[in-house]
Amino acid sequence: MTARLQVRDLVVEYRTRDGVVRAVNGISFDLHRGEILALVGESGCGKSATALAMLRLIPDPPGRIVGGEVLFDGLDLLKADDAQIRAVRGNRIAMIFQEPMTSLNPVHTIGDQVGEPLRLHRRLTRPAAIARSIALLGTVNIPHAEARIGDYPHQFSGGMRQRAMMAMGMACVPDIIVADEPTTALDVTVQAQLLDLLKHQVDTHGTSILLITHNLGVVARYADRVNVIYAGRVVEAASADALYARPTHPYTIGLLRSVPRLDQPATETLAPIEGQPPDPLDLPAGCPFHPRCPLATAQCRREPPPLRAVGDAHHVACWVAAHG
Amino acid sequence: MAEPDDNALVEARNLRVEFPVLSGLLRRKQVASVRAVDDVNLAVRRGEALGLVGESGCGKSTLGRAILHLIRPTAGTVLFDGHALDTLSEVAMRRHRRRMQMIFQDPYSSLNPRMTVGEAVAEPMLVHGLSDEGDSQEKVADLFRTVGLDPRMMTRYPHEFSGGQRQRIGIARALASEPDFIVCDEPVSALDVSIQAQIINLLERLRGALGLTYLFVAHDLAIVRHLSDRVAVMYLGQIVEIAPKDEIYARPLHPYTQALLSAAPIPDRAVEARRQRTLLQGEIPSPLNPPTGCRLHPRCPKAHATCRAVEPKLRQLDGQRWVACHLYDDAPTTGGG
Repeated sequence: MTARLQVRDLVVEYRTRDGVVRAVNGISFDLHRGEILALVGESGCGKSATALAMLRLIPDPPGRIVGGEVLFDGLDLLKADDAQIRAVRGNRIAMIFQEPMTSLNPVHTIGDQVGEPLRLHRRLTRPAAIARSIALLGTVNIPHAEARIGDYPHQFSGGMRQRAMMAMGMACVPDIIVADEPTTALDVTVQAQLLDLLKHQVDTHGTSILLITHNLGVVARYADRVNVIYAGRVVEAASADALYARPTHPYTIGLLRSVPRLDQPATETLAPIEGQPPDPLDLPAGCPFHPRCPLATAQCRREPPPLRAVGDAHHVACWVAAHG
Repeated sequence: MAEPDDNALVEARNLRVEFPVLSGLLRRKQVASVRAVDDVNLAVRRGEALGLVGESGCGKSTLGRAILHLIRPTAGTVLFDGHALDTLSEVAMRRHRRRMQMIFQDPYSSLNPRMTVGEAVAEPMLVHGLSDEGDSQEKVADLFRTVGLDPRMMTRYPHEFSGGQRQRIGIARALASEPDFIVCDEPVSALDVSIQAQIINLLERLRGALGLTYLFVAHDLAIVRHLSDRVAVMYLGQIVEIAPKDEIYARPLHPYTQALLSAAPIPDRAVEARRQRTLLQGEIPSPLNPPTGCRLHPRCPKAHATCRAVEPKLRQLDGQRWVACHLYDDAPTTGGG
């Protein structure tokens, strides 16, 4: 099966006052038809920068895509001209952001914004786009959509704005939806509804979803495959089943052990990952996790470990764990 | 409806907090009021950690602040160690203030950027006369060690610290006045996953070592389970269920508690695959215009005619369980109620 989207050796840098930060340091992955691939990691690990770079949405300056390829439908999106990339964005690859208030335009109605991709990419007339928007808002469970279509974003609650963003993302039935922490700002009861809607999109249209999140519970519930990211690199890549059954990278193991679980009585103290997340301006030599790693050896302090296979479609970047 | 408790350190009685809703561009006029906390009765027992959970806008943070009198309640009383806070003189209030502290979600916005973190931690000691300039340095150094910070960092400024370290500073500052009671308001939700566990363990250790009483306000039910002895669940300004934590997680009674637990994913693939889930419909209604009867009824899968008309009261069922739901109207009641 060939991948719908291939990301190869992506490198993204930000120029800051204090120096150059390499936010994404050689990330590669494939995204297949009808799957949910999670990029999971903590703040600053480079997961959002990866998603933005794929669609060339990194503000330059201060950001810059330094290297790599993003192959989609015979096109390298990193080399595509403006017309080519515009034909892809919002049409065949849609993006849903964490904070819909900042990505919805406050002076346009919800209906105009949800219908915009249809007018732009499908050449629908305004009335036709509005009619289609009402149907789309209905599918994301906005009650009385026909009455709310003329509302402005501030008249919607946070959950409803995120539903509207999803409706906009789904408008052109894209091949790929990139969802960057789509429900992080929302309450759990609404979060579950919206993620179920995304899953439904996969099941009914074969949409591929790149789900960017820090929430290991969300990953367990929704993802088919997982890339764990630390300091701008993929440190473990596996099917979700394998990742939870046999977490192998010490960082993945540490994350899973450190989160309290709803289904376990709190009889033991949690096992936190010691130390602090790395300073992106001053990354440690060798494996970026070595200062916090209980298994680190001299080699880990010297050489960055490559991703190596430890099982069927299960890869780990670790000198120690990969030996089993 | 009070939850009488002889062993309470802090008690909210019929507590209500209203915020004015203003309108008009130039001449702001009050056009309505939002009842953020609506007739809440809650007791926090000496030495316990009471978890207060609910979704954003349910009033849990407002309740936490009103219990500390950081927000003045519109009606009702807070008893601290048997004293009604609203009747205290200014001097007496200051004496009580020392014993009640707060840990904030975002320690960055609660630390003065122009003060060294050592000065920030020393300030409550000096204000409350627990220390003088002479011995405060040594006491601050002790507190730094208590929360797992190197005392040599005392001369640095807040911006030089990571989120987890800043939360440790916030905790040290809360401990500086030697309190009995701390309201922890979402103390780990702004932190990275790998750092959250460090702070949770610290809060747990401090409670044991210093005999503290916590009101732990949070939206993350797994963290609340880890840190609390009992859990109170809030929806649209009201408490809908109170129970010892293992009971509420094993057998939630209120449909809202059931939905909250069921919506929260568990970081385990095999467990998630087996889980039965009940989803609530729609969004939380505006507190400006709460539904009649039971406030959950428009979203509740089990609502019936009574739920739409009659507001359910918080009633005590067997043992230590309290619930406000008409599904349990016929359940036998013990005591209180």
